[in-house]
Amino acid sequence: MTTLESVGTTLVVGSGVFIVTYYLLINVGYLLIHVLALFQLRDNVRESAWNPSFRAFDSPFYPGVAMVVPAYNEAANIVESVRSMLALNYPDQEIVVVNDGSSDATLERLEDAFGLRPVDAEVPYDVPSEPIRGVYRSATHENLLVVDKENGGKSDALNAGVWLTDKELFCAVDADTVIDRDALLDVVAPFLEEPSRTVASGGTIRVANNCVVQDGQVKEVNLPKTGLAGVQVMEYLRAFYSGRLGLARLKGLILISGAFGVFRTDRVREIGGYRHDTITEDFDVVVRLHEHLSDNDVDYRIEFVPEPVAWTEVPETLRSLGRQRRRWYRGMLETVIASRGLFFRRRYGRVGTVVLPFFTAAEALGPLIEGFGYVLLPIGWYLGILNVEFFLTFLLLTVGAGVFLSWFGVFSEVWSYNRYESPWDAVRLLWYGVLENFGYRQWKTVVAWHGLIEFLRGEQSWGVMERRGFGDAATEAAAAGGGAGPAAAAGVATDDREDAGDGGFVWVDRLVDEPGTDGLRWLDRIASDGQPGAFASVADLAVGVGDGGFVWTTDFSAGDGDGGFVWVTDPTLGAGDGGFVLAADDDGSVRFAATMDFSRGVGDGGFVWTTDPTLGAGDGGFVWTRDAAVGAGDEGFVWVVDAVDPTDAADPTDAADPTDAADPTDAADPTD
Amino acid sequence: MTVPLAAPLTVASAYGPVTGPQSQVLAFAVVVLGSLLLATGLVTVGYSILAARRRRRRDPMRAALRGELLDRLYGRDEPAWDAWVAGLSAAERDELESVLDVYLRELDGRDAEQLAGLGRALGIGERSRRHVADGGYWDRSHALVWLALLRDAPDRDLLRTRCTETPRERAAAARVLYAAGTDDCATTGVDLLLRDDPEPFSVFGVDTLYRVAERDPNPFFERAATDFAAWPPALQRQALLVVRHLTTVVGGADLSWVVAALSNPDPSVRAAAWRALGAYGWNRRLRDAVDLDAIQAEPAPAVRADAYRALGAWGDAAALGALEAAGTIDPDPRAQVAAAETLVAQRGPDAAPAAIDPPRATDRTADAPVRPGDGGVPATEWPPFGVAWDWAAEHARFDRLARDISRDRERLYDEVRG
Repeated sequence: MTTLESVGTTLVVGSGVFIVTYYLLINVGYLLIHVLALFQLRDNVRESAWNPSFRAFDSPFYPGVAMVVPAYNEAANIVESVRSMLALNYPDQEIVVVNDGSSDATLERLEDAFGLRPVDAEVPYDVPSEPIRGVYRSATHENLLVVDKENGGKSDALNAGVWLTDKELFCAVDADTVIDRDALLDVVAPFLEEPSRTVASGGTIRVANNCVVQDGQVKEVNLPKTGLAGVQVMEYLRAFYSGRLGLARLKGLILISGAFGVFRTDRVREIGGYRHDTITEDFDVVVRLHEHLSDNDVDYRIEFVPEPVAWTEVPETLRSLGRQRRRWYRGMLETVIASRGLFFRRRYGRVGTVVLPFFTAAEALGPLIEGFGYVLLPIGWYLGILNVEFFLTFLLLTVGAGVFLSWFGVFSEVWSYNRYESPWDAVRLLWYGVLENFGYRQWKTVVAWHGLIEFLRGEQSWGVMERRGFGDAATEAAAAGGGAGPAAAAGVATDDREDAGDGGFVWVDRLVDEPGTDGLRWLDRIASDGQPGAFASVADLAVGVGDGGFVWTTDFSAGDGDGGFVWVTDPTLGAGDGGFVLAADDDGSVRFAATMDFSRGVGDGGFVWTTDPTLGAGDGGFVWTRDAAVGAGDEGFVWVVDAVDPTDAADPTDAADPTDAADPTDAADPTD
Repeated sequence: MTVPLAAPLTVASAYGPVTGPQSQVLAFAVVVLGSLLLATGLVTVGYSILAARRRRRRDPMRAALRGELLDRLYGRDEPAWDAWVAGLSAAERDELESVLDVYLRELDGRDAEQLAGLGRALGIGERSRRHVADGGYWDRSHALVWLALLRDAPDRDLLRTRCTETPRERAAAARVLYAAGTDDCATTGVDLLLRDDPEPFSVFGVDTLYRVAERDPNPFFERAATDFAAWPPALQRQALLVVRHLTTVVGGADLSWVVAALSNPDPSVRAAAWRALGAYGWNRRLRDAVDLDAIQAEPAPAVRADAYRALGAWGDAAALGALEAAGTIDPDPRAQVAAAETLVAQRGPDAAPAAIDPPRATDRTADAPVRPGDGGVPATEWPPFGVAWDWAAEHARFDRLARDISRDRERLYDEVRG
């Protein structure tokens, strides 16, 4: 054996030993947390069974709660969602909807449904958010407040709501979340039990896919039909029943889901509200609360209550699930790094000494190391140094322990609240606990590595959640959205956006006006306003919609914006998560469609927005300009609709000819 | 134990049979894990099947019991609970307890008394007394809830000796007395709740303290007057919260400790004291005991805001004068809005602009002091009242609009629309 071979073998063998030892320790830690969770669950079940003889609605001592609902392009669901929140059982409640610069009809729908009228007064406080355009009150519902503000992201919207309520507590809740009627009463239980110590309390999030939702309530609980969503049910059960309960038992709960969590308003204001520069604001805010309260020697508690339930849809495609998980992973890294000052410091109690270090090792580093292990196995096999015992031990620690911990979660569910009533559902859940270890688990390690790379590249996008919406309301709203374009319902029914067949490239000045707007939001905006039409090649760019058009160039600074469109086959390469493809409609006509699935398009590719002209298949792309001369040729493309007569234009249908754009090189050729 | 997990570089080691001590450890681990998995899986599925069977059996039984219960309660002159219960199976009796629990929480008066008879027929009262006397913490806690629902107060000594382990248990014990309407409800109830170094209560505890004190406020006010200073701040706040809601029954009770709480070192207690005093504007003697000039020197904006609300609730000329003097120059926007809200509430959002136009900061701040905690900002640079006033007036209009169900609705609608 040469020295090089020897070193290589030692490295592989050493890595193997490290990985197995690492996983052994992590799984021991997980097992302890799961056992603690059982004790905590027993206490919770006992606590919830003790129901004192007084009526909440007769008592003047319940703390007021503001439901703070950030809403970005939630036109499809927002009315139904607000109605369901107004119907929650709680004696002192306010709904604060924050319209975060939606480009769809979110605000208009609220105005119509609840008789909103603008409050004719300036907001008298300094609110740490993007500028507030207006505050609205309802003429019919005294406890409904709507804040309309410039787009700034979820954290920003939450801050606006937190600063504009006077309620003692606020409940951060996603607009597309369905909350059980009594869930608010239940989730504030820790505040009722220890009013002076409790600063935050979280409830359980369950998977709503395939559940029957009527009148804003889950009427029938079913397991999802697809395996991918089913596996996520398992994951949620494990995370909430085992993970969070166990951490709560340790007095070290560091995450309360942003979809349903209650906080003391003054405490969150004290820490400056939600941070804008993080993409997992729910995790970050809890960790910062721990830090702030420990620093100030405040006696506090942060609790998790397993019974109050909020329902949410989970992604049903690997693509959108991967996007969501990458975001979660990036956010976790951000928060872990931001809270590094807490690590191993006794001042921060178990959060600093045990929970955060373990969480980092298990959740942040664990998937990376596991992924490394999967790479090591074939290498070892190829080199002929794979030890069967190592292989089996690795499998035992990943798959075996994984199945056991998952089954522990299922058992906790069946033993306690048992929402999935059929024994077949229990069997299916157990099966998902096995299934997730073969393929899904390995895929998640790839997602973690991808998330790490994105994090290192400074990626900040949220991505988009593909949702179908709940009940009939989403469908109706999507249908009603015709006036505002098919993507009006895109906020919750992004699948619909992919059918935006009669959209097209429309006026791009919006992007120029809002340089901070990312590709995805831009996509929403133009798709929402799009009218049927086609592209025409013209010399005079003023003849199309607007007074400009697209020209081909390798220098994106030549355009009016700071970027342009390039041809790619991977829609995630652009600044947003999607782009435009030329796709055939049902009637056979070919149109531009906004989508995240480029396989739908002619030539398996499409156009994405970017500031880097070399990103695409060619060496340049199309930029928006009013001056055709800035392009490589002397013509450009303008969008024309029926009302516009492209006098000097070539036949508009030429532009819609798939062959023109099917080949990336065609699109890249300015002479075309 | 250290287990070598990678073998030397030989083909035999890679593909050969799994043998040796490591293999035994591995085999042991596989057996342990396999057993755990089998046990977890079997228990999970078994429990799920049992639960499903129980539900299937229970639902029709519950519906039948509920129907029978309502029929006996409302459809007959005499419910004959004993005879009914005697003919029920053990499972039916369990289910009937659960149904009874629901109805006892919903019904009052004669209906509740009738249902209490069913509780006795089921032996719940007797069992609960036994649990209070001999049971563990959770048994006692559940027993106290049942006794409260059945309006059945047990022996006081039993409550004093057995039911004071936690603030929750104290509250549950006092609640039994309140629910049963005993003559000593207030004296014994307050004693149970507040004797021997009491700790802060849950909301249920605060509500119970309020309910027993509402029956007779004297025991509570007497206890607070002597012990208040020794209580932890959280309990002090809760006591003040109760005081705030006892305004109609307080009579001539000693409230000097409430006024004294305005000087408490804890700002949250001072704020609670102001909130409590806000409800006592009718008590001239109490108002005179409060130093209104001290509000401007209060360093905590939240306390000032509560002071403004209290003064607004009092509504007399001196209070409103002090409120305007302090509120218009308050450097904290939230406190200023609180001041504006109380003034708008006093004068109404529809008052003529001249009447409601608040004094400008510059009119009265030339000699105003710099407050501690304000970062030394001179009073003359503090923002005016205007924005806060507009905000408060607009919201008052909307409140009125949303509450209004009269024919004026459309007019108000237009008015708000501007």
